[in-house]
Amino acid sequence: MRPLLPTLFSAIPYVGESIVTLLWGGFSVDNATLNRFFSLHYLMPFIIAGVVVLHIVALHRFGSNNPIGIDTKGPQDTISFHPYYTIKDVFGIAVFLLLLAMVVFFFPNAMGHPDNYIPANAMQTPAHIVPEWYFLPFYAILRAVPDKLGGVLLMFGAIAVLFILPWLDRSPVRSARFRPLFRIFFWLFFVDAIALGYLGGKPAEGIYVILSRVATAWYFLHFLAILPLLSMFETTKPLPKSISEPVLKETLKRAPPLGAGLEPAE
Amino acid sequence: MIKHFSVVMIALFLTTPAMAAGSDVELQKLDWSFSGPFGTFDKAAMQRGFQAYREVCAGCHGMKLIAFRNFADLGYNNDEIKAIAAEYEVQDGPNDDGEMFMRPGIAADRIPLPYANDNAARASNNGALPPDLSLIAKARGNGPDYLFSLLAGYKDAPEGTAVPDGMYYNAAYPGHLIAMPQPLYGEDVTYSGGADDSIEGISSDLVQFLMWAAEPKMEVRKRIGVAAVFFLGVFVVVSYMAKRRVWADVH
Repeated sequence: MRPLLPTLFSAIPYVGESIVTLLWGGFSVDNATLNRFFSLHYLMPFIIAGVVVLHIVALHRFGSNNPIGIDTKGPQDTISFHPYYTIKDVFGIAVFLLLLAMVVFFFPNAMGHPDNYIPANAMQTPAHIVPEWYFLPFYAILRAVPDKLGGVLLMFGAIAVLFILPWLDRSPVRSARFRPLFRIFFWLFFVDAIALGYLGGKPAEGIYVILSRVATAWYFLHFLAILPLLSMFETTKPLPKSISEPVLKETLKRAPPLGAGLEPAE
Repeated sequence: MIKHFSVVMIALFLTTPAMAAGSDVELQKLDWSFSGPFGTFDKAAMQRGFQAYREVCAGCHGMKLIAFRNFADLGYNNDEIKAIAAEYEVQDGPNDDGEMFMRPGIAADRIPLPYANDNAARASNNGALPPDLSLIAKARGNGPDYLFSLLAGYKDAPEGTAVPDGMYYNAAYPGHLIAMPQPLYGEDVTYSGGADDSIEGISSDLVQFLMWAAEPKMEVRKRIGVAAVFFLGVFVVVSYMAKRRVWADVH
């Protein structure tokens, strides 16, 4: 599937073909392509390591977020990482490992394709080319647009739009707990993303094309129209004065308390 | 957090049907001894399946990933494996004169292939290439059910379906027109011990054998899996109790 990526650049007008040749290192996918994409992927862990450093710097500078989405007002609002979060993370990891073990030992092929057990044949591509499951939503967006350039732009735009999220959602309230309308739209968006993933795995024909167009339109509508409008017009519930305020004790009884630092306020 | 995680897991499993091959065929669903978390292979059926493979399938289909020594999994002992291997002629060499020569097989040999290369295979089969069967049970969607339905799926073409020369009608094959002639008619193999030698009986033996060939370590995988899930289940309970105790003074 990887060679698909450079060919996407051929959608750029005028210089597209030259860029593809440059990325391929030749006029077709060949050893040079393999080499450069191997080095690119070798580079990824180092980039990730750099981002981890940024994450730790940010964590020490600004502290953890919390599901309430308000800043800490003093020592009564915080608890130490150890033992509270270490033990909570141990429980979380145990649950994750349990589910992982079930997949690994009993459904090892659940996320794979039968095609992967057929020896590669350069002269014969599989009947249905489907990307890995985590690419399916973006694949659905790519195919929903009849124009090649438009499809590629929207597909990359689906990720790029996340980078301007702070300017789209200007609501002063950080947590979805105090934004009733936002909650509804959040879950609509969740369903939309799952639907895109489902549609990406279906053949591009008939009702699937129409549905993926609707889902794609909703994806961008959510970010570009709904979020800015919500932050302008939504009436939010009153915020508690601090995390330790008594009103919060009520919330704590219902829901798991203060998320483990890494969970972003919705 | 846990609520969100389970939602994501469910979502992942909902998207997996996307990978299943979509087609217009109905597969027969059988209750295989190897399905489920405690599934095991049926050794007697696998031995019969190997016999059927050797006498029916092996004329056209190779199994290049399987060596005779692997048959220990089928319940054969060393002497039996050596005897089976010796029934085959294997090419070896070059000898001191630089010539290739034939010798009886040994346990370390792979099962010899029916054709020297793909072109020879196509030339003998009307241009169709019989696929290698080593991994076939995993290389098709719902492999075991598909293979069974395919082997037992040869029927007369319905009214209005034109079947070209050299093609055959099969209810389970995607598109229904398959280049493989009907391989089983019942009583194709003489089983010692009077096992079921109908088309369905031989097909299910073959599926046991082919599923084993595609994943010889499946029983070990599931056995370790049961132990791992049991251990992690206890770990989840213990770590949850520990978490409750540590957090008791915060709530």
